[in-house]
Amino acid sequence: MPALAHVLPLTRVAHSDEELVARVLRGDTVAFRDLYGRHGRYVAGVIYRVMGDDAELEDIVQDTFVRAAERLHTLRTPAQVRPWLVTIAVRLTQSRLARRRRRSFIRHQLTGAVATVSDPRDRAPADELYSALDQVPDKLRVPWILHRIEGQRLEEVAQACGVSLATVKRRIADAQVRLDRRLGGTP
Amino acid sequence: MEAARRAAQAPVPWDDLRQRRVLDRVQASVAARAEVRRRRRLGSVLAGVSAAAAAVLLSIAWPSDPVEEPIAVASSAAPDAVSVVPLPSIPYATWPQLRLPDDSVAELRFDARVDVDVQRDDLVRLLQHRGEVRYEVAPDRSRSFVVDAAGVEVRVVGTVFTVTLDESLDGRPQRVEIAVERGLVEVDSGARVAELGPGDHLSVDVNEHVAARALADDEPERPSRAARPSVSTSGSTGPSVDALLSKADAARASGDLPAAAAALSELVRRYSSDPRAYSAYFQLGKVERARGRHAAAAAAFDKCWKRAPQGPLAEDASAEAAVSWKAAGRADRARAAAEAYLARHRAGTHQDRMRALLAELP
Repeated sequence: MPALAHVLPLTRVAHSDEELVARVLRGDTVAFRDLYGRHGRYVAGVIYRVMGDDAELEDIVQDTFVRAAERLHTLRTPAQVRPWLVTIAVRLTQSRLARRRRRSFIRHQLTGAVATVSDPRDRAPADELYSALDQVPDKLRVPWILHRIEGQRLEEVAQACGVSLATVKRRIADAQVRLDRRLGGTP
Repeated sequence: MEAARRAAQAPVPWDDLRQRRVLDRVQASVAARAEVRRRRRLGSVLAGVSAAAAAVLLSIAWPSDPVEEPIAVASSAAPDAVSVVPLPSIPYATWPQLRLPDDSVAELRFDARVDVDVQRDDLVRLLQHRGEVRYEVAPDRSRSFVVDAAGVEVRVVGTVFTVTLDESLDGRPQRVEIAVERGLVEVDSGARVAELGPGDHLSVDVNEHVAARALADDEPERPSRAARPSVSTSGSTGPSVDALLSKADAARASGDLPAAAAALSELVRRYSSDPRAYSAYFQLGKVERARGRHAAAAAAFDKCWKRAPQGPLAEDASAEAAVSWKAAGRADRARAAAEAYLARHRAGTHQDRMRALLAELP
């Protein structure tokens, strides 16, 4: 019998998220790797945008998928596995941000490790934005980033943050006003 | 702002190497945690039986344990292939359990924390401080079984249910979710009481129910209740923004719309430069509309969107302003508002609504 892990990448067919979830729940590690391969990069992107730096990115992605593996049986709609993963990632990221704030550590971090962009000439605006975001409470910062930077729909943001659509709108609005004031925009 | 936003959308530094590295760490972590649970489970089995019986049991049970069942992967996999670790089948996790003298069991999931507040023959009362807990309550009609999660009480006779207490970013209780598997439970959020049966699921916003209770209920607070959000004040000059928002929320929850409008009006008057005044205008518009004060509602909606024309509430607020002006009998203002909306939000969600409104105007 050929090595399954070796052969599958060559003959892999596109499984739906529902199929992958069902297989993972039956203990299929190959399916778990596929699930991770399909969504890991996206989840990493969300975390990176929300955190604003790279420092704990791998740790949070790891925690997200470990927790997902352990709670996958609670997922009610397997087709919605990506937003579910994002919800986990956002909550873990929020915890990290809160911990950072408690330690008064984020300011030091951001001075040397704001979101990295390819061209240093482009870095200043991102630095400035994340410095301003540093002054915005996490509960406002996270939905604003998910919506305005990550481009998620308001409904997706609400789900990721675990609050109502109205609350998300209000929080994004509050964050926007605060950022406009700090960055010189029109409130 | 736009330049900063675009800069922040730069590519994520996540390459195949990191993708692979994290996957390895995830699989190692999952396997390690599964092993810990397996050993814990095994330990409890060994503690419960004699050594000889345990040996017999193990020899039978071990090979068929689904947690240990690896995926069929041949050992001849290429050396650089991703290592395969067994993922247990559901139920995946074995969680710490709190077993009570009456044989009820609380399964503490993730970082859950529960304290026993009262343990008597006629009453068992648990305080759930955080996390997710699955309760399997032994049937006993002679005693009450109560779980208190941030002031939300779940009362049962004999049933299986789960209570999840979500916290806000600053660690304060935010939402309590109750899911019932078997039996019946009664959920008392202070302002309302609901009965849940098998398959039912209820989510209670802690802040809303606390605010509602604060004004709508004369019931004295029980000292055992979890900490409730305090209303902060900003010195001696009057109520703070938080206090006014809480007051408005509580008033709305209890149906006292004049009080809600008064609180919101005071907020936007006293704290016009506060960012929250922006959304308060929108709330005020909705409250005034509910009171039938359409001109006041329209004025509030107008102030909302004019304050931040590019803000997230601007589109909704400008549309609602047009609707309220029409309801107030101000066709000229309604027309101007609707036309302004159509011009500003060419792909807006209220386009059809605004066109219909214009068509109805005299």
